[in-house]
Amino acid sequence: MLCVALRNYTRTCGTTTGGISDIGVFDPSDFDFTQGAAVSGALPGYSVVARHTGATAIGGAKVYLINFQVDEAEWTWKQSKKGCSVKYEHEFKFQLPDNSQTLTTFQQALDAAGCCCGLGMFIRLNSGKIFVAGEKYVNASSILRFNIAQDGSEGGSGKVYDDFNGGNLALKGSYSRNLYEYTGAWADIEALMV
Amino acid sequence: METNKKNTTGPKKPVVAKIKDEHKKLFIAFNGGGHVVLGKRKDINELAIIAHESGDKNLLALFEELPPLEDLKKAKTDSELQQLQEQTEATTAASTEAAKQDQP
Repeated sequence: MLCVALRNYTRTCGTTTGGISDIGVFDPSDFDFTQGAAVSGALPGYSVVARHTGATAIGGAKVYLINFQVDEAEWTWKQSKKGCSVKYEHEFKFQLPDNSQTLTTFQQALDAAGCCCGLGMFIRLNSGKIFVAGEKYVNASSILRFNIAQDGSEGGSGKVYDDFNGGNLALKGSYSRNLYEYTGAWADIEALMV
Repeated sequence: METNKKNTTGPKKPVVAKIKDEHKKLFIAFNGGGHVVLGKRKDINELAIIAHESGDKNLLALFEELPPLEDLKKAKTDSELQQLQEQTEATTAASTEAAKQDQP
């Protein structure tokens, strides 16, 4: 109280589950997020996602699903500080099987996005929670830039029949905080894919 | 001296937020509603509550009629209580029927 406002960390008693169920990527310029006011000093997650003015589904303003190899996707984050400056390094890794023209052009699109405008991501964990990374517009204003880009991907053909043939993609970005949740349902995100 | 009394015994006007006509074909993701345009959503009051609480001017601009936040929240609570009551009554009726069938 006298120096800092702390809070409890409590969660409803119950199990959780590891791993990632689904990943969707989007152009951060295409979508607006809505976040309610803080309650007892704690901000809630995003409760609404809408297309930004001028963005249309027919024009390509959609969420694009990444069909990664099952059980081969992971989100990791690492917090660090220097003095009072805090950094959260986010990394999203997922395996895409089969080296192909499709994989090449997909990576080129990721590279272009990372250079120009960053990538937005919806990550649905196997626990059911949905997290958002790389978002740009919140409550009708642009927030501090959260740039996610392809960085450190690698892959290969393998040597024998049952070696892995494909790419291990890595998307990275640093920000001043951990990720916020989207508090709606994955059905809402799927609806933004059409 | 006559006093001007309000009629407090008449039916209450439902609290309903309304979307502007030009936005009814818009799709917005919220509340697990899936791919349903605003004009066909049954939970516009929920979006209205979010618009109030966030102050998101893009959301606020969607509404033709936007009841006060207190009224929306009370309507939501009343609706949830009514649903709970209906579920309780349905469960009780089902249990009673099952008990009757078990009797020799």
